[in-house]
Amino acid sequence: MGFTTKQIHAGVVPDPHTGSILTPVYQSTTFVQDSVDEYLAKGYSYSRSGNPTVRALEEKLTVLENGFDCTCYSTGMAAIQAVVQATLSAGDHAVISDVAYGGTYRLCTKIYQRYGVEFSFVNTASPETVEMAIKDNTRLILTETPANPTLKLTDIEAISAISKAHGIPHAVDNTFLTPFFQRPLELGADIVIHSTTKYFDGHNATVGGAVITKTGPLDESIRFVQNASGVIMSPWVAWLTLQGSKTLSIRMERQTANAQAVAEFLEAHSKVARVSYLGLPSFEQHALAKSQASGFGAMLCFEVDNGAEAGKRLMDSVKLCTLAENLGSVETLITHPVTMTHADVEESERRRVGITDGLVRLSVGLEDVEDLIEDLGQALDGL
Amino acid sequence: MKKETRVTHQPAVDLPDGNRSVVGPVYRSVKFTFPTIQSGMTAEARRDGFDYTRDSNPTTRQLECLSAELQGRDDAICVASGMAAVWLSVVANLSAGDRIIIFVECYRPIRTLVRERLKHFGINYSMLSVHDHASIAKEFVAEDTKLLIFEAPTNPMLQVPDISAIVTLAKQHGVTTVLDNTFGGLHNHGQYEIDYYVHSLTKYASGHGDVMGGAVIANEANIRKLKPWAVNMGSTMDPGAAFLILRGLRTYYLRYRRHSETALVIAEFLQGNAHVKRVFYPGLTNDPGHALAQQQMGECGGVLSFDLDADREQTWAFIDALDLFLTTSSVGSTESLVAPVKLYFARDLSEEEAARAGINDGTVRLSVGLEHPDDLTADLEQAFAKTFE
Repeated sequence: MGFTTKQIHAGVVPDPHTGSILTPVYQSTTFVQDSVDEYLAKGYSYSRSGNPTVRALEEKLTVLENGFDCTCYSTGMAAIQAVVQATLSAGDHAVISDVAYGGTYRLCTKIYQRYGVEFSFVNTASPETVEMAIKDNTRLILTETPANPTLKLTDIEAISAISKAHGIPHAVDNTFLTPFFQRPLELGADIVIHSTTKYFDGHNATVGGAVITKTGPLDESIRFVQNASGVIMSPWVAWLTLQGSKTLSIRMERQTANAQAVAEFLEAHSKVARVSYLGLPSFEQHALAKSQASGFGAMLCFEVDNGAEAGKRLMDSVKLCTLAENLGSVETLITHPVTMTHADVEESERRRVGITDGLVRLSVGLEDVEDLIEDLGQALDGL
Repeated sequence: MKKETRVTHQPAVDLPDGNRSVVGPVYRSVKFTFPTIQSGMTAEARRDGFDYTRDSNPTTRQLECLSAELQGRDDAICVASGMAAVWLSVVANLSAGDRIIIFVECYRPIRTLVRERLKHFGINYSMLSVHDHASIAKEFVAEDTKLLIFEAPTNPMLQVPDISAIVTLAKQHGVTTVLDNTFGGLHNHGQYEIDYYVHSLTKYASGHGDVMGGAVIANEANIRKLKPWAVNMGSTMDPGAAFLILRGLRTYYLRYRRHSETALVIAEFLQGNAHVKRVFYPGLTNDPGHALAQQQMGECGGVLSFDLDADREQTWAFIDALDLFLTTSSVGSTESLVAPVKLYFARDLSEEEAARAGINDGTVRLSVGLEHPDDLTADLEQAFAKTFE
């Protein structure tokens, strides 16, 4: 069965009582048991532990990522913390991508380090570096590919082979490419993490997260955390995400085509010093992008001459591109990491991971690409 | 602009000055934007503005402001569930090597969190009894004791802790206090110097059994300390949930009073039944916690427990025989609910621990709803007749 068919039908069965084609929003907190003896016979008792609407989304995402099972969360960060919490205890160590999302970095350094967990932030684009970072007490390898915002790639198959040899789970944040383009579990990873806020929802209408696992024991340990720490997805959010997911591949195809056209326009523009986009032959890891994913996605970044000042001026002169930090939605969103998403990160740290003063990140949306190019063109010409 | 672009950049509908919606809207938007970078970076924009719904959202903010005011504190953080609130208040206040104090009478998921999860973080725990002040004082003296989490009254056995005595001891030894005030309600226990109040808003606050949510309420400094943790851990409340809870709160005082009145009728009715050994409800004048509860909170809410003079089989048969009381967990909703206490709330306790918590095979918990009291007593009556005749 094709991906688009699965994204529409997986996990959703018509309501047996009414025939409603959509799973109802089960807003109920509690589920009545027929008798004490038959406790949990229908699978549900309390919505923190399980909810039918949320479950439909979990089942859909399981199928789309080709996993064993899935758990959903209040946000993408809650999903990441569930994986970190389920796999690491005091005295343990984790290898994390050095270009991981700022929120992941803060979660590790501000919260888990305090509980005696050790982290090494390394260049996961280099399998040798990952191999060297592994210690006797390493219990998790967490990568993000493509990375935010530099789009640096990690070779999922190579890192998964290393993690397998050491018996350590490899978790991949697959938010940027989604299972439509990239399925880490099929490449050997053990856990996939999503911020469903981004492409699964696609409409800027919910915040949510998901963890898809390859095995039962992994799922069980993560599900325990989902229930115990209570960072659950609400049924409304699950329902909106179920609806958004049905157009995922269509949106991804169109947004990717738009991104390719915008990237080519920017690369040819005299005010632009450099463009990073997986789909450009000039992209350093273009070959890896082609081999481990079936599409290049809709995120790109580019560098304008004259650094931060020009970057800021560009932001303020675009009209159609919305100045906002989210990504993956139908609206094209533009951000200037130095003044926005990465303003709290030290300058040396920013330089190390490739975030320069003139770097601009673009989440290309569903608009007519001519309108986008016109908008970016007028803003660049004004620099 | 082409129409394909227009559908993603939809026309804004701004209300004229002074024209406002009586009920706040559900701000579903994930993102909030400012006209320029500079205007989004001012101190005022950073303090009062909105950026990303994981950090803050106007609908959720309205609920935070209201919850804080009802509890008599400066500020609040709303999260995805009551347990997410417990988790936030506990994790943000501990480090590896610290000790947390819990009571054997507490809500089972809190014990699970402390005994199964926190051990992975190098956190030790001591499980005491809520009435054993000597042991509490002794444990508070220990250098590594940093935090106490407790409930008033406790779930499921409705024990009333002496909040003033416990807070005084905690202050003496610099122990942080977290009160799960779900049973007490947002309007109660604000007079004590509790450091953090946590609530499952799923219960009395929403009141309709149709939404999950939690809150941590405290003074401004304590909330400021917790906020980065909430943002980093992503335990965010859905704005749709916040809207439903705000709606529920409009009838909060009416419901809490009616729950309390009907629960007292049911408790007195049960006391008069030959198959009931003991009723646990602080609203009863002969309950050991009555005087303290009167002084601390007044009305006692809609949850009560009782011991049947019966074995496990008969107890389950009694529960199954009830019609209006639905068999399920949760409390504080419009429908009356019933739960077998040992099965639902004491699976993790040894026989000895369950006995210390006052739980046996015949223990039953009722969450008394808003139905007419006569219908509820009639339902109990027919279940007694069916089970014991």
